[in-house]
Amino acid sequence: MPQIKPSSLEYYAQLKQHFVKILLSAAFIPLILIGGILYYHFSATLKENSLHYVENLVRDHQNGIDSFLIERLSDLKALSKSHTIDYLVQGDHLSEAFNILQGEYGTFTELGVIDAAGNHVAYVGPYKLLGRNYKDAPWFKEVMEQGEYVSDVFLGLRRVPHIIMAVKRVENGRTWILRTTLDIAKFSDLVEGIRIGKTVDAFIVNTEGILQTRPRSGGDLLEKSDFLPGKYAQGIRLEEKKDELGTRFIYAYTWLQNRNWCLVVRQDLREVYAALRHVNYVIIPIFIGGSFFIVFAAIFTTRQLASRIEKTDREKDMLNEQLLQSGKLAAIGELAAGIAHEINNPLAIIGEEAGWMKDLLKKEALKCSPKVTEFEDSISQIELQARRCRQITHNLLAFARKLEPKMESVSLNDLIEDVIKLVEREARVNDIIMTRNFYHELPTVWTDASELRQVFLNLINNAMDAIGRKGGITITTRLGLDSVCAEVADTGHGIAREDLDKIFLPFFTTKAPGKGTGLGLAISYSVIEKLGGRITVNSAEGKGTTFSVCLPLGRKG
Amino acid sequence: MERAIRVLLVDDEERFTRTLSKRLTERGLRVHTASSGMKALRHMEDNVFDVVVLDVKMPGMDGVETLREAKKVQPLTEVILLTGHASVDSAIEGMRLGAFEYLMKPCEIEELMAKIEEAYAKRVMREEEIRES
Repeated sequence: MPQIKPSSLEYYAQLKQHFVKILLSAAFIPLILIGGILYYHFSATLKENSLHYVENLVRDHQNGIDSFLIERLSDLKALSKSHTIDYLVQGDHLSEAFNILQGEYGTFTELGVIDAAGNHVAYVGPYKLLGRNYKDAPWFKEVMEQGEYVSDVFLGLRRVPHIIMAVKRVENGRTWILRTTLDIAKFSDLVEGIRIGKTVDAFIVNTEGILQTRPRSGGDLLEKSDFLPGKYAQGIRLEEKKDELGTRFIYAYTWLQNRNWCLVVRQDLREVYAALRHVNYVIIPIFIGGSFFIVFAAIFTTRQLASRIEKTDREKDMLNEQLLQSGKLAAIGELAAGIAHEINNPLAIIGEEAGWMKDLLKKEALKCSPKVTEFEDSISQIELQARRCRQITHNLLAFARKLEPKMESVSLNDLIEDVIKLVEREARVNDIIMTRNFYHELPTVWTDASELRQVFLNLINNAMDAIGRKGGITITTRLGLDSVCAEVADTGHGIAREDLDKIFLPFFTTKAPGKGTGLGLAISYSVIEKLGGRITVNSAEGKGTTFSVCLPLGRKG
Repeated sequence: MERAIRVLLVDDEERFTRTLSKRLTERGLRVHTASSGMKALRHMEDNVFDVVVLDVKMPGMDGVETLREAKKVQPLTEVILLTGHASVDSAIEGMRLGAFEYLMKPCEIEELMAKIEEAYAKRVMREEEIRES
């Protein structure tokens, strides 16, 4: 912090700013760090859970789909093995076999028998396919080579998406093929059933990314999906991708056993983080509210702290000033004593010379001089002024005197009453009303009565001087916490602000020249200090002045 | 008054002693002056004084020291201390050494006269006591 003079306004403003900054950073930095870390971990955990979830979905359903296809294929195989071609092409036999194959699922659309030349020799189903030749169809070639075949979903001549499934049978040297098509709707149910939640989507694509089932999120069968699974690999893969709209998805996918199809489950990340959003709805208001509270608390406590510091500083300044004041007074006192002592000698000579002249004037020889009265007047003036000087030096010496006070038990009320009696007659002459506002249960104090009398006489005389004619002096006594106090309040002209801190200094006076020595209050101050008390002044110019004297309620001794 | 009171004024301020002696003489006293403690003691070896008025603060031998010596030379002489300084310590010491009174300088001639007369009265009383015993 740059150095600015303490007690200046900027200093406290800066102090406050500094405090607020520290408090706010102490509160917010950990808060934001903790919040950020929790948020990060929470979202990471959510994402991880979601990844696990879709991964499990893929794993669970991969087997289901695989076994569905395998079961259908083995049903077909079993059928081909349990009958001869001759049997199947006769009468209703194929139709019966179809019914058995359908069983309770009804997943097949049709069933046909094809001879080695590719001719459809028997057929059950909704289409007129009997007699059609498949010699050039790619699936025919494949089944002749591989012994079995499962196609991708395709439209074919009938313009309906379907899957061809075919098995080859070699029966006593005769080769024939049993061919069927799968109802795509039944197959799709298997995949579409995976859809859980609002945004979990499941579909199958082939190696080229052609959709084999209908994804809920749009896209139709046999359309190109925006998801390309890449090359065949074992196991489940996890991926995070953006679609063209910028929505982020997590993908879990795996290749099915036929190696042509890839089962894909994806979830919208927005849904994954939905829980986080819900938490945010609660957390953010709390955070904002908390922030306001922290800021408010920081500012509030800082204000209090700063004002307390300001108060202590002010008290410290005041104490320093008082120390300085008493130090000054002591130094001035010593100086004054020295000067007074030195002045007393010439003053004594002046006094004696004047006295001698006066003595001489009394002689007969000089009495007839015409100007003798002038001489006498002049000499008595010299004597008078010398006496005045003597009064000043004696006061000065009294001020500097390091007398041990004569301590006794004193009733402040009685003491002040004595002093008031001394001046009351003069006060009445000047139309000044003296009001006693005494606290009658005031305990006695252990102090120097004669010095204290001098102090109160000083204060009351000053008050009367301040009033001049017509006014009031109120003298109040009261009991403090560990002191007894007396206040002398007048309705006089008051003390100017700039004079207020000088009034206890010796030789400072606002009275006309020759009227005051400027020592009364300085002596009072040193007396009260010596007695362990405090004298303070409060004044409003034009309204009056109040002097308070507080003496400690020390025990005897 | 049967005989004039014999007074010795001691102060380093010669003008002060001179004028004061004139005034005291005018009031019927027999006054000698001395400007230092040493001179005062020398005077006292040759003359008898009823009252010595002694300034406390002097260069060389100060008032208190002079008082101590003076009491050795003339034990019956009463001493009035004069000082420009209201030093309680020297006052207490002076009184302990047998000073009659302690006055602040400058003082009124009437006050000093009164003190001198009181001191003289005391001296006379003590002389009589001694004579009687």
